[in-house]
Amino acid sequence: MTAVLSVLLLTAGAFFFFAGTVGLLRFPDFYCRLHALTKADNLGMGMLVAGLILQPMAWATRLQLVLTWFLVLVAAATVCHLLARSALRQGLEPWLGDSGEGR
Amino acid sequence: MSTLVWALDVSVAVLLVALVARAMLTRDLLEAVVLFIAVGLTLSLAWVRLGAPDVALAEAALGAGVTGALFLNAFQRLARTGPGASDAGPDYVIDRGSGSGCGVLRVATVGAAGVLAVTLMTILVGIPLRDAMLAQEVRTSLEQTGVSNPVTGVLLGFRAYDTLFEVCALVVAMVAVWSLDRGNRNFARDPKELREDPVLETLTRLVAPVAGVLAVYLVWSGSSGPGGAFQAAALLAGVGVLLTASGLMRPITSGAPAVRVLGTMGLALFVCVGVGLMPWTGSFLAYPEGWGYAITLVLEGVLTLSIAVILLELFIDVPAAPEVDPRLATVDPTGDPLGRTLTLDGALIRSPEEDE
Repeated sequence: MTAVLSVLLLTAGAFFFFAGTVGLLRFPDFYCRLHALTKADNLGMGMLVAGLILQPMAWATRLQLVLTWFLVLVAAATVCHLLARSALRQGLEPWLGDSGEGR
Repeated sequence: MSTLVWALDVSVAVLLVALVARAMLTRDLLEAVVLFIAVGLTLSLAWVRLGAPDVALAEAALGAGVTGALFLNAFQRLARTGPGASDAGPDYVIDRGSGSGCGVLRVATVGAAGVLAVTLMTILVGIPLRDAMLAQEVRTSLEQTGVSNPVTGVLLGFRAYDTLFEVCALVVAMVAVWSLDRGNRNFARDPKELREDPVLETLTRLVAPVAGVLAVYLVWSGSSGPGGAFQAAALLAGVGVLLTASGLMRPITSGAPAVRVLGTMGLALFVCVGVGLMPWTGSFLAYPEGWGYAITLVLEGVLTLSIAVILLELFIDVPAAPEVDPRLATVDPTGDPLGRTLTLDGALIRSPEEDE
């Protein structure tokens, strides 16, 4: 049962990484790409970690995995914020859709 | 399952070659730097697959992390001050195709690299199996070093020479930066301006203690498992950059005595241990029997601090405040010292006399 759940979570995690990569390559502007990258990576990484800790392993390793996920989560969110703010301050116009302004 | 693993290995190898080729061939300097970091991360994956977690850690932390950060730093400065940088901004592109003699130079470089590659391959193929069995030899005499991680045993026991000279090279690099570098302007700004970002500050407050513990753990576990001074130092240097960027720590300056002492004490201790124990052991950098573990641990600890300070210094160095000539104190430092306005090609368009 846990094995099935683990595989499901790992597959979902891989899917989110894939979606994030597609977003990184296909989204129209810097801010959208940042969104795709950090959101998908956070969720994807969380699912991968959730899937992995269901596998048989030492509890210390599980804790290390969760800690890794937490650190990646915090770092990715902060880096996203810093990049977006820096781009805004340099005057990079956000894309506002085909009907909107900018671009 | 083994087919899958094989496929993974092959894709890592192919990706590695593709990334290296692209990084070498691209004309976009920023792309080259980003690809270099990607190469480092892929290479550390390859090291993991080859069963060398120590090298993988070092590659990820130093090859991709620290070197990548230094390259980004250099790129930023080039984009600001390099040839053709004035209005290119973040889209700065190096032009590798122009200039006389460029083609000859390129052919010569490729030729030399080719000869080197062929020579190295010949040597590699020609190595007798006996030398490839060095690992066995290390394993059998590892006990003498007092540590159980063969990598640390080699780095600080059998081949302590190499490590000593690596640390020497780092200290020399730091001194070179002192004499060349004019400081990272990102960090030379008013600390109040830097401090305004609560998000970065929160991240730093969260991460710094964890990273500190992890660095101690890496040094400690280096004697029995993956880890060691260089990896821990890279981590500490990263914390230092975070602390500086979030305004929690003043940028370190090359003039500060603490920086000089911390940066060189690893090398000093290394040499002192090497020479100081000679009366008992009879040879340079030999450890007396039974003391290997203690000496290695202390050396690793002090080296970690030194290397961390050196790496941080390479990244951040803000020069000590120069003696300002009082006559120049009121002059705009970005302009001509006499207050004239110059066009880009140096023609004088306005002199201060005309204003009056």
